[in-house]
This record gives sequence, structure tokens and C-alpha cells, in this order.
Amino acid sequence: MTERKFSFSHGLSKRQLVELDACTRCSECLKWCPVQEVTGRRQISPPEKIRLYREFIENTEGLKARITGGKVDRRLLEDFVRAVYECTTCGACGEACEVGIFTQRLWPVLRRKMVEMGLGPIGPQANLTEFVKKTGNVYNKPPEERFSWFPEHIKVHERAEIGYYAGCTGCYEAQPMVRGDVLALHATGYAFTMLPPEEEVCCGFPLFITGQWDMLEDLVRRLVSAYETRGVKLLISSCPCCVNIMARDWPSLYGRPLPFKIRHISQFIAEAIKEKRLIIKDHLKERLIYHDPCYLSRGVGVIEEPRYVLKSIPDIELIEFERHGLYSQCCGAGGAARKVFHENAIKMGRLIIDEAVEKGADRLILSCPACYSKMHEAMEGYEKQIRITDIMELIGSLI
Amino acid sequence: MSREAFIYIPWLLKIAFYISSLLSLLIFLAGLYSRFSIWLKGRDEPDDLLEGKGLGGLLLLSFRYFFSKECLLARRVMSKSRIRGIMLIFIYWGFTILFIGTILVGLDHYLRLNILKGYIYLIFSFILDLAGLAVFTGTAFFIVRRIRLSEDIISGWDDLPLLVLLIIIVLSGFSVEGLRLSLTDPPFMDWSPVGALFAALFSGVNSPKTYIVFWCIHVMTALSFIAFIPFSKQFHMFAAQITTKDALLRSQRLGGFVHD
Ligand code: SF4
Ligand code: SF4
Repeated sequence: MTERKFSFSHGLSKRQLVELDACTRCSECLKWCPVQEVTGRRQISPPEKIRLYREFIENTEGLKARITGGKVDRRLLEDFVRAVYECTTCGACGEACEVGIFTQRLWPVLRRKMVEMGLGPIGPQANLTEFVKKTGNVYNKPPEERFSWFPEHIKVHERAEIGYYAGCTGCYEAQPMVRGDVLALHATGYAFTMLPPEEEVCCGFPLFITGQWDMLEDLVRRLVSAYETRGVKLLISSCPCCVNIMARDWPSLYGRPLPFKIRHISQFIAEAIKEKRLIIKDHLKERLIYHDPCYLSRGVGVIEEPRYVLKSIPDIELIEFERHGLYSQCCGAGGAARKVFHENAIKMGRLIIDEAVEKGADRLILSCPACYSKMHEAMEGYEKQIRITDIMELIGSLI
Repeated sequence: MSREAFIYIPWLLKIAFYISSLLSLLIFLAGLYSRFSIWLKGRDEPDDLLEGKGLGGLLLLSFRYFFSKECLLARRVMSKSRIRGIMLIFIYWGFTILFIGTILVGLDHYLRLNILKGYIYLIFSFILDLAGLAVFTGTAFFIVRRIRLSEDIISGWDDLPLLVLLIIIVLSGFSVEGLRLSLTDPPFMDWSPVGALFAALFSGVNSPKTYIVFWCIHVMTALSFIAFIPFSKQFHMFAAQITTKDALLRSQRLGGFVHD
């Protein structure tokens, strides 16, 4: 049993506390939950997590606390920890939620509370802070290898209004993707700058999403001032998670508005295509299916731009998943759960592959380094096969 | 045409009614205060519609959005499922009308306003009858749904009991009305079609004693339900309208993060 002094409500916003009371347990979100689909574990379901957490608060801070003495069953807590970390934080449940609970934001905050209690993060996630301190990245890889994929013929400017942030996952786990980014950026003719590898540290997202928030302010301050010094007015990244934390949380972590704007690379390239700064000449007679990354579509509403870029490729046919746009289905790579609950992630990835193959697509197009890495893993040894390509990797190969 | 309040109810029961009502109200208010106090512990987020709100502000917000267009038309639920949306509207509208109706009856009686008579009373009866029918239909739908889908949905200890309690309130309410109609046989009974149906059902057993039994069931279940609200999932009736509104604003802001 846990003693009363810990406050389960502390640190949650007013809105989040209201959200815990708003759930009607209609359970309409369950059918949208990919983890639910592959595990069948009801404990992971949003209404169950919400019910449990609400009970923790009620038992320790509500009227009931006066009767029960403010105690919480340790076993229930442990169940909750597993459930909240097994979730990919994809946010599909929030989109489907009949009362509009912002789950993509609620789950990380509840994870944060578990970290405060010393019950989270779980498995290898516990090393992330240490890794970032040591190497600047969450993979504990040498910083000097960060840009090993960088195309040699491309010049990076010392100062420029456009900054490019490659991100840890792209650099260490999805090199063809970040290489494609740089090729596409270069093809627009705009000068761009990047930080040296030891300065381009983690954006903070993996720490944020696992509830380890101690280093966040420091990381953000370092990155923002480094880009500011280089005269950056527009910071571009291809990683939806990086873009998400930069756009949504960097300003509050930095303590004031950012001195630059944030864009996902698909937005920048779509703009360049519209302005005819970038012309895709090569034809591609293929049926492409595009998978919306959770933190790009539901996270920051970038849905049309990647499609615009793809439709600009001569001869392609673009088809859609049943669940796309705001309702896209998580591929299993989200929420830093993929390394801990590997099996779940593989199964979720294969659901995406299944549908892409069933729909007769020639190629599955992604736009996220975590999806890229996990989907490739999901394909290994699987009976259904489809070519997987990142959107900028494709553009980079056609210009 | 009007209605005599507390018809057939002996004075001892009347006193018990007042005491129980007070008790139910006190429990409800204590629970409400406790839940709102927890909300107040929350952090303020910039540009959030709850930013800087105290107890009064939160109550007001909850009340205001309860009557917002989104809520009145159950827009969010309706956009996901037409049938669930309609059933929710039945409960929401029905419940609200019955609640306002009960208050009107109380005011009419205690303040001796004497407005609920003649055609006004007939229309009033008709509307309340329909409201009861709406709550019954919606509640029955959600009870069947919860039982039929029990394998696929998450239910807490209070989900089904709350719905069952609600349906008992409605059915006992109709029974009370039916018994009263059948005992007093007023003209223009057709203005209370469901009441008239129940009057016909009770035609053989329409004694004042039966009336008192059903009246007690109705009062006790209704008062228990009120006291139960802040301690159960039913408290969503204070919270869901806020999160729904917030979701709407959030979706409008979504484009602003990287599209500004
Ligand atoms: S965020 Fe995604 S994985 Fe987590 S509970 Fe919601 S739908 Fe399931
Ligand atoms: S859809 Fe929303 S209200 Fe319904 S059970 Fe899921 S989280 Fe709760």
C-alpha cells in the first residue's frame, strides 16, 4: 500500500483533471486502439486507465480518502504503470473519444506522474536520460557518427534563415530518410544550416514521452540558442515527434516564443513545389499508399502537404488506408513503447503492411523515422512484403 | 384542470420526504464540492478555457456549456454515431425537461403561483410525458447496449446500476402518474398519453396504497440518484461538456502550430 503524501492530481492541468471525470466509459475508443487490437488487454484501454487514475485521486485526495485513510493498492498501481507505458500514445482514442479527451497529451502526463512515484519509466527507457547526457542522443551512439549518412556534395551553410534538424532516430535508425531530406532541401535551391553533430542533441521528445522531464528545459535552451545564433528563422525537421515537441512544447520550455517557426519537411517541400522551385521530373508508374504518422496528423495537423508532394510525382496513383488523416492507425512505433513491447509493435506494423498489400499498393510511403525503422523490422521474415520508402527518400531519388 | 401536490401522501411521509430531500441535496453538494476542489488543484495552462477559473468560474463554465449548441445537439457523439447521438439527446433533453418541470411544480406549489392550470397544465403534462418517454427510450437503449456488448466495452461498478436506477425512476414516475390519473379520472387524460397507458395498466389495482408505494419508490430512487451523481460516473454531466468544447477549440487550433 502506498502512503497518502503523494499527490496524484499535482502537475495535471485543470483540463486534464476535468477529462478524468468526463469519460463516460462508452468504450467507443477501444476499437481504434491498436494496442488493444493486438493484445486484447482491456487494462490498456483508455476508459480503464482513466477509471484507475481517477480512483487513485479519489482514494488519496477526494472524500473517500477521509474514509479509507488515503491509500492506494500497489498492485493496481503496477497494472496502471504497465498499461500507461504499453500504450503507444498514438492519440487515436482521443480523436474517436465521444467527449473529446486529449489522450495524446494525457498519457505522457500520467507517465510523468509514474516517474515521480519511481514506478516509471520501464525497461530500456530508464536509460534515456543517461544516454542523452552522455552522447546527446537517445541511442547512446557516438555523436561523430550522427551525420555519417550526409551526402558529401551538399553544402551546409554556417548561417542561414533555414535550419534543418535531422533528429536522433533519423540519423541512427533511418538514414535513407534523412539523406532524402537533405537532397530534397538542396534541390529547392535554398541555403540551409545545420548544427555540428555534437550540438544537434535530442529534441527532448523521447524524454518527454516517457515522463522524464528533468533535462527538457536544458536541451531546449541549448538547441534554440544554437539555431538563433546561426540566424535561423525557420526550423525544418522530418521527424513528426521532433516537430511536435518543437511546435507544441518548446515555447513553454524555453519560457518565451521561439525566435523561429517550425515546419515539417513535407510542408516546406510542398511549398517549394507550388512555387516551382522544385520540379519532380522523373515519372513513377506506381500505386503508392501513404501512412499518416500519429504525431504529424493528429499531433500538428499536417495531412494535406505530404499528399500534395506525392501527387506532384508524375504518373503515380495515390491510395488511402481505411484509417487515414486524423484517424490514422499507429504502426506501433510510437510512445517509446516499441523497444519495450517489441512484439506488440511488430504486430501493429504488420496490420499496416497487411492493409497496404491487400489494397494492391506497390509501395508504402512513410514520413516518420520511428515508423520507418519499425516497419522495416516488421517486414523481416513476414510472409507479406511491400516496398517501404520514406516520402523524402522517394523525392530525393526522383529529382 | 390542475394537479394537487402530495395527493394521498400522509403527513408523516411528507416529513420523511423533506428530510430525505435535504439529505440527498447535502450529499450531492458535498460530493460536488469535493470533485470541483480536485479540478481546482489543476495547473493553469495558457489559452485554455479553464485558465484562471475558480470554483464559481468552473461551475459557471460547466453550466454554460451544458446548454451550448454542441451539447444541445450532442454534436460530437452525433458525428460518430447517429443512433447513439439521438439516444443521448433523448436522455439529455428528457432529463433536463423533467428537472425543470419538477422545479416548476415545486414553485407552483410552494409559492402558490397557480400557473399550472387549464391549457398550460395540459401542455405541461404532455411535454413532461414525452420527456419521460424520451429518457426511458434512451436509457433502455444504453442498458441493452451495455449488456449486449459487455465483452467489448469497459464497465465500472456503477455503469449498469446507474442506468437501472434511471429507468426505475422513469417507470415509477409513470406508475405514479398512471395511478393518480386512474384514481382521480380527470378530463383530458389524453394529454398524458403515457400516463393514460399506465392508468389503464393499473386499472384493477388503483388504490391509494399502491399509489403511495410507487410514490415512495419514485422519490427514493430519484433522491438516491441525485446523491449518487458526484460519486459516480454520472458526474460526467458536469465535465463532458467542457472537454467537448475544449476538443472543438483544439481542433480549430491544430492548424496553428506549424501552419502559422
Ligand atoms: S493512445 Fe493509441 S495506443 Fe494508447 S490507448 Fe489510445 S489508441 Fe490505444
Ligand atoms: S471514447 Fe472517450 S468517453 Fe468513451 S470510453 Fe473512450 S475515453 Fe471514455
